[in-house]
Amino acid sequence: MAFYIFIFFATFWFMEFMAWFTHKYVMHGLLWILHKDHHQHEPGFFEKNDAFFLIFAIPSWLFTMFGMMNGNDFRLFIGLGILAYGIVYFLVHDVLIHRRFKWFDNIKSPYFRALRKAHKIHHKHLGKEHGEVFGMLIVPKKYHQEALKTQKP
Amino acid sequence: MEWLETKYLYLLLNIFTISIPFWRSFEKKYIDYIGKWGPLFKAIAITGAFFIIWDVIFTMNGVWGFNPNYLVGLDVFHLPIEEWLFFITIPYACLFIYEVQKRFVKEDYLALMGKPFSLLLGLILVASAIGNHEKAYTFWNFLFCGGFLLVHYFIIRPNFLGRFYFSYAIGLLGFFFVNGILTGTGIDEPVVWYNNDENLGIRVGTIPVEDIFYGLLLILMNLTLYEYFKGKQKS
Repeated sequence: MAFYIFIFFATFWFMEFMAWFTHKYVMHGLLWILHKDHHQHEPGFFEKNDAFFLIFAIPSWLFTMFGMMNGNDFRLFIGLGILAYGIVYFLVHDVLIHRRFKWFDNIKSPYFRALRKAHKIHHKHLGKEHGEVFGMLIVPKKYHQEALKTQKP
Repeated sequence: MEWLETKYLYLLLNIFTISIPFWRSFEKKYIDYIGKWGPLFKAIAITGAFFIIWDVIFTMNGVWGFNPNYLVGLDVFHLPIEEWLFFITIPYACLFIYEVQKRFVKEDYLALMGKPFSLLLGLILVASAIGNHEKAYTFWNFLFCGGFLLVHYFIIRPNFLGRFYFSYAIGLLGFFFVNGILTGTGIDEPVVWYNNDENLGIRVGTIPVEDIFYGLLLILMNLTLYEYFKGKQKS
């Protein structure tokens, strides 16, 4: 059981690495064509960039399915780890940061403010090149310190 | 029935399904289905890729399988060629029904119930999936179908759900006929057999109840992508 819980959380944080890596080298690289409209907005609710949700859903689905069809082995927990990361990514990136849905609008936690600030810095750059701060849940310390400093009592 | 006992049976059912929609694809006056082939085949390709991968895994794990007596005998990635065609002919015909009723049924009768019904059905399906997680067909089918309906309710919020349910109800007539034969009605053995350990064991005639939602997911996924690509085409 402990092993499975470890697999779950290891996968979750590995996905933060994967998200950072994919974002920096794939989305701002070969697949910029899918990511571009996330930096330079076009009319309409959906972005081509949303295709990445579907792309990352594939390994989650397959790991979960193979795991469940083989007596709930470790693959199930890899699949669930990816799924959990996907849900958190959606809630943090699309709901809290980009406000695509008007859900929980009043979150003032310094951690979330740091994430939002860091992501806004990433969005200062509209083009493919010269990006910075590619992570999502793990961002440089200075944003946390800034967020704490500006915290209202 | 003697005349159905042929290795061309599944292929013939595919041809039967697409026959009239294909024949009427070329008129330009009312629907101009051929003019919508771009979005249509994009939707069919993407949805088909998902369903084929799922189908290959289930076939290899014995969740269901195919009876060679009713197949021409050509397999691609462990799936009979007829099963590949199924993911083309069925959506082709069902979206044709959708376009026809949009053109000829003036009123969108189910407009008001489209969204709440999707929420209700989505919740029921996801709950049933979790309650039957040890049955592979029930679990994955209800999870995908229910989840997709909830995505429509909470995120996509399209205005075509009433029209969708209306045309799916019409499509169910064809579904009961074609799928009835596929699952063994009127023939010696089923064309597609199901491992009853992996489904609820509830059959409508010979059809596992899961199939009704499998069909719903297949058509809704095609329709959502079709409408999305049609919108892109216009703008």
